[in-house]
Amino acid sequence: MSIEFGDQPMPEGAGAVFRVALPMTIQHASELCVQLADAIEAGAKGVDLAGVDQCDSAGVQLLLAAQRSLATRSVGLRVFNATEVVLEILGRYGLLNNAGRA
Amino acid sequence: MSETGNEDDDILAAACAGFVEEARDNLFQFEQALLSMEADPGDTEAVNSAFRAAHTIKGGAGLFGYEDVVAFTHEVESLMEAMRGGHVAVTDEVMGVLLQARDQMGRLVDALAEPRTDADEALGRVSAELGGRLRELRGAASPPSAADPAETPASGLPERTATWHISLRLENDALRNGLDPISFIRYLDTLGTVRARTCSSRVPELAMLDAESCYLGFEIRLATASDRAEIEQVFEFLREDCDLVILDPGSPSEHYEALLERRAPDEASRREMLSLWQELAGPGEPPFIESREGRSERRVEERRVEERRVEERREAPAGRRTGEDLRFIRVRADKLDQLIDLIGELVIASSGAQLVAQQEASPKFTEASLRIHDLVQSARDGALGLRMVPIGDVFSRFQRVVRDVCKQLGKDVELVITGGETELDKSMVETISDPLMHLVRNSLDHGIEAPQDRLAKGKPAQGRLSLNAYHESGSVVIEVTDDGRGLDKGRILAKAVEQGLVAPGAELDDNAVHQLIFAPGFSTAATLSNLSGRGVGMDVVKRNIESLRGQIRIASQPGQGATMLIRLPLTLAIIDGFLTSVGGVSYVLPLDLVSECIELPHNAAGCDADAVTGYCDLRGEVLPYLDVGRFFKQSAGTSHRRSMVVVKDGAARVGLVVDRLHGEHQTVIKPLGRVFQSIPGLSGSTILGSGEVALILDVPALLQLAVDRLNATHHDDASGRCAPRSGPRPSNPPMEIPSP
Repeated sequence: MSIEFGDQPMPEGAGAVFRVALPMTIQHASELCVQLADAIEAGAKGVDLAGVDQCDSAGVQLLLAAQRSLATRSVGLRVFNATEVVLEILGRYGLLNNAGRA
Repeated sequence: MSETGNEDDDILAAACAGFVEEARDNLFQFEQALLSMEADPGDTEAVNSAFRAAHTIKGGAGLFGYEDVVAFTHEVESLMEAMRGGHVAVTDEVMGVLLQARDQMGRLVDALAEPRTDADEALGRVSAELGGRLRELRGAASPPSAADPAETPASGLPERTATWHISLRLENDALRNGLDPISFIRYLDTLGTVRARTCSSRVPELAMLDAESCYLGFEIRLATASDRAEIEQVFEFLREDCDLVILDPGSPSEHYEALLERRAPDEASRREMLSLWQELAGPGEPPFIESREGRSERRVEERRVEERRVEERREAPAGRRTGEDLRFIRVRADKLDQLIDLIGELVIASSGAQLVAQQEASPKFTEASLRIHDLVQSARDGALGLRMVPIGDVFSRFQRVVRDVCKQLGKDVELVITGGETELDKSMVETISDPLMHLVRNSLDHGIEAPQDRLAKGKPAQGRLSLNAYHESGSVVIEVTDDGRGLDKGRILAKAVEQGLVAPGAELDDNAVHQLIFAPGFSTAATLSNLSGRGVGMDVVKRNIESLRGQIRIASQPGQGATMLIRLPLTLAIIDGFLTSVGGVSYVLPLDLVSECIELPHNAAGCDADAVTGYCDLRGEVLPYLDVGRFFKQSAGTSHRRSMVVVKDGAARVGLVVDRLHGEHQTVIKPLGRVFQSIPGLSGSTILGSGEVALILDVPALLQLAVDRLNATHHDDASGRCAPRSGPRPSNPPMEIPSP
């Protein structure tokens, strides 16, 4: 499973993209999990990671879980504005397939 | 920050402290190994040991993200690696740089424990410069390691690179336990080129996700020159929380089949694995699994063998130290102290019970109390033993000191250490370390001559400095012996007269002359060196030793050498004592020092009623004695039959006259209050089973005082400058002890 990165501009309409406002680390993972689940329930299909300055494996797990949740609705997860920290860990985990980095 | 944030800070702080302590241990091992290599360049075990120590430090630092420690240690490790491979020889230059590097690693670790922002820049400069020199010595053509480990090239020579397969599955609790696989994968980058793929098939959708559990697995291809042990060591801290399989380069298809069996219980996960492996296979690499034959007994057997080997390797210590770890537990010193206090109270209570048993005259009670007494004694010995550490740990530190000082002074000295297994109380080890260091430096600086001088005197060019330790009569004895020029009595005496410490023309015996060097500010050194000679050392040495209730003596042969002899009590807490009393006051002597007990008859011939000290004739031996009651100025006792306890201090024997002997008594030493601490001759107090307070005699000090008194009364007339001592003239003939 790989993460798709949003090259297009973010879709208009509130709720289409969930903006992550907490660090994506194990300390906040449980809280973020609930937020993400609610957002997807409310129709979000993407996440905006512009504000993410920390990301660990728990954070990556959240993205993968979000992807799986959306897969049940036959939709892929889109990731927008991924910061350097996010790209680094995803890269090491071999989860970047279409973002131009091996 | 939230409460969780504060807890995290606490946890991190504790973990950092743990890392610093272990890093310091490893640095010690590293230094010892380097010194061994210098002594014997062919010692491959020492090279390996040094490499392992550096590698372990780097590993720990990497785990905690201490990048500057990682980066610098990486250079050290790379040079060690090259030496291990025989590409760099052991030369003076290389060893000098490596020892400097060890010191820099020490400073970097210290900076973690006590961060000082002003020192950071300076540290960084030293790291950069030393790092450059290490690289030069390695003759590396590759660019220096950048701070970003992802850019670091493989540390070995390219032609030895091979591709390993690593399959990692983490336990559920790994993330909760603070272990994040990303740290380990980042660290793998320092070994070579890493390609990883994540197995996410176990990750559920958000509604079912326990965000703090770990559902991830990884399949990794690592191109590296490192060996299996080095790769395994990367995951050392993860061992308990993961299932790790490492396949050798060029492993046959069956091994991958076996791995697939192990990892993929169902068709879906099998498909995922195979697809990941396909992505991982580099261009030109054959697929991992050549053919999908049916399982055979042979393959199952092979898999079992492989698993067993992996398990064994996981258990087997990566280095000597890991094996030793299993034998030790870290215990906080204050917990140990609490336990010893408790046992001390138990000792007193047990004595009290025995006393009651005697008074009740109940055989059953007596028997029971004796059993308790025996058990308490064993518990006491065990507890005290916990605090004992071998002095060899301190001695080993001096190898480096001797080496450095010799290089600095252009001298050649061999350091011989014996008795390193001799144990003493941990707290004493820390206090004795500095005085010993000073004595060693003194010997090297002033005692042992330069090689050409030694040859001129007919001595071998190489000097000999020996450190020895042993137990004797309830004490620990430490000897620092050199074969240098010895103490020059004439010069010492002259200097003492010059400084007004003794009157001109005074006659002092050898021991008294030697003790003069411990006077504050005393120094006969013609030149000051930055090591010693300023005269601020020896008096501090003596004070430190006396603060441990020890003594220091000197034995010297002019032209041949000198020995500094330090005597320390075995323990500061509980001793086996011998109880005596004078009048209504109870005194306890350390049992180990008691040689024999004699009854003195009433009005023994020549016994002066006022004499505090005197001599007596014991079976032909001239024995000095001290009347304890009179020494402590008690009013005259009314007891008619007095006793004498003969105590020994090394080779010297002295009799202590008391009223009554009460036999053996286990004693917990309680410190004297501040008011009483400076009373000479007493080392503490204790509480007897009856609740009464007894005073513990500091026998060696008492002996010294007694001898001083005797000497002073003899010299009263001869020297006007000697401090006059009170005490009667020994006008009586020596007391005669009737034979039994």
